[in-house]
Amino acid sequence: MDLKDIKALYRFLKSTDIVELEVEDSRGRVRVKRAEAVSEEAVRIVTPAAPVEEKKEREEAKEEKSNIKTITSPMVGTFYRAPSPDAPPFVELGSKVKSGQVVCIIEAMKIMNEVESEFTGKVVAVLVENGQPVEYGEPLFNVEVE
Amino acid sequence: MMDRTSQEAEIIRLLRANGEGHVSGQTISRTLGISRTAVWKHIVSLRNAGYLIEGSPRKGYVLADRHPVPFNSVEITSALDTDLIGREIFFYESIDSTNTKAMELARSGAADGTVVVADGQCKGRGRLGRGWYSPPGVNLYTSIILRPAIPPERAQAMTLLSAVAVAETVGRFSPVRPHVKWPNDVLIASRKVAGILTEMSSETDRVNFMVVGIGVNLNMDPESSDETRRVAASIGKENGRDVERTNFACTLYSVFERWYKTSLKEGFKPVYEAWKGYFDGVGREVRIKGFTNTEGICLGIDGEGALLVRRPSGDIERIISGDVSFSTL
Repeated sequence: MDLKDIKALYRFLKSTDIVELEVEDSRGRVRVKRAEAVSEEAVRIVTPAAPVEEKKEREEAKEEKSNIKTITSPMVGTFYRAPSPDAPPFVELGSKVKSGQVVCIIEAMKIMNEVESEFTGKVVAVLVENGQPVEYGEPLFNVEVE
Repeated sequence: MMDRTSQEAEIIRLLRANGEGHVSGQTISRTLGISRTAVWKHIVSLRNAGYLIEGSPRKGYVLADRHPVPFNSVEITSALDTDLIGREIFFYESIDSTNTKAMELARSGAADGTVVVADGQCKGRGRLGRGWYSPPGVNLYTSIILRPAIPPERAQAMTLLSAVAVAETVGRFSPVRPHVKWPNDVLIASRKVAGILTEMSSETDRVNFMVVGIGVNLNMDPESSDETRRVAASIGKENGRDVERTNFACTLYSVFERWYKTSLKEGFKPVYEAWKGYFDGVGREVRIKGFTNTEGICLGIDGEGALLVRRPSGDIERIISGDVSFSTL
């Protein structure tokens, strides 16, 4: 393989999206690689689902004019304030929370259900003790909304 | 249009099918409907992934048969027969936890049936922050992302479903019939061979997504670590020969998919029945450590999968969470 061949290879490589090329013939082997090659392993394409906007009209009507909102348990289970016994709680009294933020876990049948706050505001009451069983709809936290 | 992993899996299938014969670049290009340069790109990528593919300019490519079969997404894809679970695979040589990764992917919209697989985990997780011993190269660590159209309270049946799917798969590879311990540990000869941790994100009336994390001890030696000595079993060590990880993973996805699809269509009753067939705790003394401690005789499970325990006072208690230990038979 001579310089002319390598130049031709280079021009070919530039005209494609190939990042690395190895060519072998009777006179030897040459490998050409792009400097700006992006690791293909690092590139994964995930199609994001359309964001879901749920209207909270029902809750808002129920809470009337009060700016204190209650986060209730979506299921029967055991209430945990932290992901593990030695980890800090998801939220403390006085913590600022955002809508969609995980505030606790309810466990039933070894399913750890992350409960998200539906409100943005400040936690003004923690109503259940860590490790205690809770009922469906039982109040867990009070949040003072902004 | 196939994605990159599917195309590479197809190339590996073609090369394997031809054994020691060469497959020309042109044949591959024609079979997959891709350009010769795309074929070459895949060959380079497969070589980088550890496949010994020999190429000769005139004859084409041949897969050297002496090399050990690697464990990766190409292998799993090339052997998979499902149409939902594992159609999208995120494979990692090493990761903190497949569940942590899967939760992240699910939050950003990963599709129903997407799986995360790792060769090894450095922070494998169990219930309540407990660890799951996850050495590289020997076992299966996988998390399945599911988006079942069911309300959160019915999602609990998924615990028994995953236990049944894992137990059935373990049973196909183990000469010893596995048992389940309530709710979803899988045991061989009273030692834990598989653990399942399910995490869920839900709203009041619907499940956003669930992540079913499954760890199965396939080929590790449980006696080699303090964490597993005398409490864990591995299928390979029970058998006296190694379990092929790709085969196990694909069987698990396939069995899981069958139970999942049937249950969503026809309900969870068959899952409960199958689960009872693997459960050997009825009539045994049981102790549950939770918010309050309970002791008594296990009566089985109720229609929602909760454990029923008759206390010495005669009262029957319904258990939905806690650390459960059964007296040995």
